[in-house]
Amino acid sequence: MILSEASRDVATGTTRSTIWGGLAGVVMAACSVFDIGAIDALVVRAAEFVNAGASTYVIEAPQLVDGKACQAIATLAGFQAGAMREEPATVATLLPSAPIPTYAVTDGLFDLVPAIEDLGGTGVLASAEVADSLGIMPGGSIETSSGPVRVRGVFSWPPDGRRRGLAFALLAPEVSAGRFDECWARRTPPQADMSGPLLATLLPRAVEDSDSVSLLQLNPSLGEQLNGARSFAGRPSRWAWCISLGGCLMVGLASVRARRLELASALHLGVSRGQLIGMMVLEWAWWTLIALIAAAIASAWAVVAGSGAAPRALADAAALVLGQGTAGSLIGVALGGASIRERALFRYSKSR
Amino acid sequence: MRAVLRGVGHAYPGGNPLFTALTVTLEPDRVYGLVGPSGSGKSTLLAIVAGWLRPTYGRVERNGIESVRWVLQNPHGVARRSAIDHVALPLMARGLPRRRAQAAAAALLVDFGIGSTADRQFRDLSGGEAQRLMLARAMACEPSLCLVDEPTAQLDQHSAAAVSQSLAALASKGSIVVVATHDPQARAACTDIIDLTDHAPT
Ligand SMILES: Nc1ncnc2c1ncn2[C@@H]1O[C@H](COP(=O)(O)OP(=O)(O)OP(=O)(O)O)[C@@H](O)[C@H]1O
Ligand SMILES: [Mg+2]
Repeated sequence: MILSEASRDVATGTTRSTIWGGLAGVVMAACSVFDIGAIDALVVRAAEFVNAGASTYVIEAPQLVDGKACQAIATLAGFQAGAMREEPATVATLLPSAPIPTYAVTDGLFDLVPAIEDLGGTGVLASAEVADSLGIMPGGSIETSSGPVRVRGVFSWPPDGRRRGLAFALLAPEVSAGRFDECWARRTPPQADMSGPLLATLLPRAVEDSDSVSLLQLNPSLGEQLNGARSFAGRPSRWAWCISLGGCLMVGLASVRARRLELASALHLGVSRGQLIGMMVLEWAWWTLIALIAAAIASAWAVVAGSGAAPRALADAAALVLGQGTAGSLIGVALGGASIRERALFRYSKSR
Repeated sequence: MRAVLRGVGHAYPGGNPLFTALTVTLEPDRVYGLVGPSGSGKSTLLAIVAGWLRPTYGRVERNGIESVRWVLQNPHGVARRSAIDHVALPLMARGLPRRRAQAAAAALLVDFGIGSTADRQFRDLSGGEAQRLMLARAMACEPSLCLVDEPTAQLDQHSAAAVSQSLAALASKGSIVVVATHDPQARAACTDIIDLTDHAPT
């Protein structure tokens, strides 16, 4: 009887599924899209922080860094690391007046200095500025007095506050583990105190000669820390799920209160409160399904239109908002069902 | 089963008494016509009989009255549901499966002269048809006490006669029926008359 009555209410339009489903859908979609946008902005900011080198730390100790120990940091979970050593500058025949600073680096350093394009194979990575001034593309080569040097790729080194020095430079990969000048390392998620692993890469002599050792942040312009967890917890949309819950609760309540007279009269005719709430909940399930489909489509659109950096986190946020909205509308319907009074019928009649 | 009113009178707070010293015994299989001019307190007395309002004076004894159903002045239903669904609902609430409830509801609609409206939506019924639907629906409940307020106020002569007959039929099913009315035809269909003018305070 409950199912049969509820389905007739839906089929005849008595439930007004479009109105309630539409309203709840708009509430859930708005909260979800708002939160997705806010979280995505944080994710983008975190990626910028990392890409700018703000989470990368460098230990400088000329000729006192153990390349093998430095590469070993990269084997720790969440760490990337590589070593670097200054070499004699390269003099291009095309540009004899400007010798190009050249650095020998271990493989891991390329994780920290991402290439715009890298064909792989042998050869050096040229900074975009070098490639521009010599008019070379990856795959081409630089003519020098000691013969051609193949350029396997190009990296960018924008002036965004990161340590200067690589804007006009060549990076030459070196397999052999020897002595280096610097070790670079970063952790994901970012960690500001990298001194532990970095100090461990120093050769014994450096520990005595501590004046020549310094530890610095590759790009200090964005601050020392990106407190991802704190800014996530403090984002303006952090209450989106509450608004979804509260808003949908109101919608659920309204969907029942709008029918209070016919429901009061059903109670008066001998329909039990349990039967009444049963019907309301079945009808709720129908219009909430409509709301969920609408809100899920809107959320999916927001995730797809976003940066794509962390779709999983965005989907989780949307799921929370939609879940709370669903719970809220159900609570609203239940409260509404419990609030219907048979006497409302009599009061209504008297007030006419 | 009966309801006894002993010396009942009522005044709303701050108002003069509407009626006083009303003593009457209400029994099944009778239709009590409650008459009196507008504002004499007919609707008020119905609420007192139902037990929804405490009388200012006297008392009401109710024996064996298990269920009370109202038919109110303004017919109200579910706009988009069919007429027959309105009558089937109380039958199904009492445990009848839909098909049997639907059949019994159809018969009730015929009793009230609105058999042809069975599949029409409530919002498409005329005021008279809607009021007869309310009576049919109350009958479906087979209540101990059926209180009807101005049932024929909105009906044409022909429907009013049909409704009056059906009220008697409800009484013959074992309900106590009290009908507040202005309509002489409905009044004539009643077996007993309670005239509030006889109980107006002097
Ligand atoms: N809740 C209330 N509080 C105060 N006064 C009320 C209340 N309900 C009704 N009255 C007054 O009591 C008087 C009787 O009202 P009632 O509705 O019982 O009369 P009635 O005989 O049913 O009238 P009608 O024929 O117009 O339906 C009216 O003057 C009305 O204004
Ligand atoms: Mg009245």
